[in-house]
Amino acid sequence: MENKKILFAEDDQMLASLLVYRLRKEGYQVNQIHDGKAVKEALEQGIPDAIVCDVMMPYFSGIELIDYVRNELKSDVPIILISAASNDENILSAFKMGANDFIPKPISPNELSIRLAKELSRVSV
Amino acid sequence: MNLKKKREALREELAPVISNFLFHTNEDPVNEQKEYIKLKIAIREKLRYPEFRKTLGEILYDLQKDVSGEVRERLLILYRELELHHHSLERLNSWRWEVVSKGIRELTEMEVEETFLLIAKKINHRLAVVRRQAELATVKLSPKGINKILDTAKYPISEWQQLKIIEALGTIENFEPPRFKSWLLSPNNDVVLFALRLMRHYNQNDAETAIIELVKHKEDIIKKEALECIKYFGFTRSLSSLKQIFSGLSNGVKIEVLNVFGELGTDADLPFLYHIKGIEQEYFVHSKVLATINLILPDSELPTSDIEKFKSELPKNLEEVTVKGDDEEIYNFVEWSKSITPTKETPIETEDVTDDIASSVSELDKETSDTLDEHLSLVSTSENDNTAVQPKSFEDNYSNLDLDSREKLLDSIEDFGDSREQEHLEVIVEKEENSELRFRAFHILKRLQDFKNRVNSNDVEEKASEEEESFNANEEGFLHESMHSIFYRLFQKAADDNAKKILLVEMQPVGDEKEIPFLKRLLRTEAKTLHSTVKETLSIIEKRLDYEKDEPKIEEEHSPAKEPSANENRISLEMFSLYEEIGISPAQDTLDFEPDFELSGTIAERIEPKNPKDV
Repeated sequence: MENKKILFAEDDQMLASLLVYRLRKEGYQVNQIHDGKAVKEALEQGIPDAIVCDVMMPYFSGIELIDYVRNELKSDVPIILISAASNDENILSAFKMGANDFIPKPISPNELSIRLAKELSRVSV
Repeated sequence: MNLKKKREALREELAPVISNFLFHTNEDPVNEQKEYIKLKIAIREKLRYPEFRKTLGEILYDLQKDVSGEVRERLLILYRELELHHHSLERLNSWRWEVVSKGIRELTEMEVEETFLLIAKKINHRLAVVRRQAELATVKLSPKGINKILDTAKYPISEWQQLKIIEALGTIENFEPPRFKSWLLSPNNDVVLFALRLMRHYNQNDAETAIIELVKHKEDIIKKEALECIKYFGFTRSLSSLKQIFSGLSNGVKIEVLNVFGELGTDADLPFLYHIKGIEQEYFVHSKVLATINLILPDSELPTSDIEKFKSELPKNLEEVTVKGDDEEIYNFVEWSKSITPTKETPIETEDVTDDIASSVSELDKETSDTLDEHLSLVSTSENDNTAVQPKSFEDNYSNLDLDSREKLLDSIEDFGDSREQEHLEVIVEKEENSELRFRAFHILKRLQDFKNRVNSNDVEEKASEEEESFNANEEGFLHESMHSIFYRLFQKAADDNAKKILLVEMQPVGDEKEIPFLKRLLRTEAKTLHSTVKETLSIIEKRLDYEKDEPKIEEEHSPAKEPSANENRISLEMFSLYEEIGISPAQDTLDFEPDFELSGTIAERIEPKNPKDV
């Protein structure tokens, strides 16, 4: 998974640091961002290999991000949503909008790593 | 830089350090191992500063909420290794309840199990909010926490709190619940109540006697919970005890007791339930008794109040029937009855008396009788057809009839019915909406019942006289014949004996032979006070008729203009042919014309056929 570029958007700085640390340790190139605006700017610079994004973010929610990526950027980049609000409605709407995966909080860094690898391998195939 | 910004900066600084600590393994590269050791030394030095310890503690506390699995385990170990829980323990001693609460919450979330006993002390805190938190923390931190709560709790434990504790117990891995019956003797009623609920939750049915005894507890809520346990565990031994204490219980508890009977009761408990049904005044308890009886003996108690009658939609083939009174239309109705009445043979309960009656009415046209039986759904239309549709009751059939058909049916019963129709008449009396029909049905029923009672009493008296036997054999005939009297209906409606006497007196000058069976029947059915008037009337009519019997011969000889009967008033077929032949059409009033002339022989020959077939 070396050199795979991951856009990681999470407003909780401690959690983001922890998960990014874990992903970097796996060998990913992780761009860590804390709010929706920065996500949009980063996406205008270039599409990453995968996006890991919290649903609840300032300025730009995870659902809006999916809509932006799928409908405006016309990109099929794998998007994994993470959220503490893991009710059925949220999960279903995320998948309807085009999310590739959904991981509820509390999140296991190991689980995130495995799911991300799976999504990337699916795309490469 | 203010305190908040300082903390933010510190958090940013500590974030990679904590991540390094949490993801460090001995397999890491050497440079990472060196960095890990350096960080550890640096943090140890900084832990001397309370602000640093506080911030680090908060970071780890917040982070543990968002992570799970192995990383969370490492985080909790790090929290304890850095002795960050000491700060939370200090909070337990604060005089401010919110600080104590926060300390309990931190120690619980960070799973500092060794603080279990310290937190358990707060189970009897003066404030309910701290008590509740301490109870939950005690259960979460130790499998023995529930024992501690039940042993020491002096304050009430709310139902919600009990549910939360049970939920917390469910999260403990390999939890072995204690025998909760030990706490059924607790002086704290809430502990007893909670113990009962826990026994039910963990299926501990080893305290049958104690639970049955708790139904006598002074608190209704404990009684109800004990009853729930009895029902849940199926303690049938409790039923006799419940019967004994039932009358002294509150209505709410009575309903719970009846629930137990509904669940565990048998036929043997029905006498008790019927007894309660008879004496219980309270509406809800009374209703519950009925429901309980129905649970044990299904459909034995049926709803009676506020029941509306609904006519179901008539079958399609019934629409073809216009029951107006002629035989063909009755036949059509019967055809429809066949289509919906049982094809399976329905057993008919007949008493000896009914057999007697059946033989006495043998003169009735068999076809009509069969028709009536079918009409009333009494007999099968096809004896061999066992692929029967579920038979419809008479009540169902009757409620489907329109007014005309119901009237027609009642006519048939009145004319041809016998005691077998009694139960159907009872249904009609109970269900008929039309007051006139209901009244008629009531009188027919009364008549049949009177007759049946009389027959029964005659049986007991061993049919004292031959006349009586003869009466029994022919009573149905009498009944039938007596109905031909014009006074029959009037007599039925007479309000009292005086009115009946007036009728009898009125009958004397005008009565004819139709009144004789009626009067003879009155001698048997009416009170003795009327007998003299009846006998007098009977005697007068009989004398007059005897006289008239002799007289007609003379009248026939001397006066051919005899009083025509209704049939005789009708125009004969011969006369009709004659009218046609000679091309005249009689006026309406000439239909009653009685010719007082003789026809010539030619015409007479022409209109009087020698062979009836010629007509």
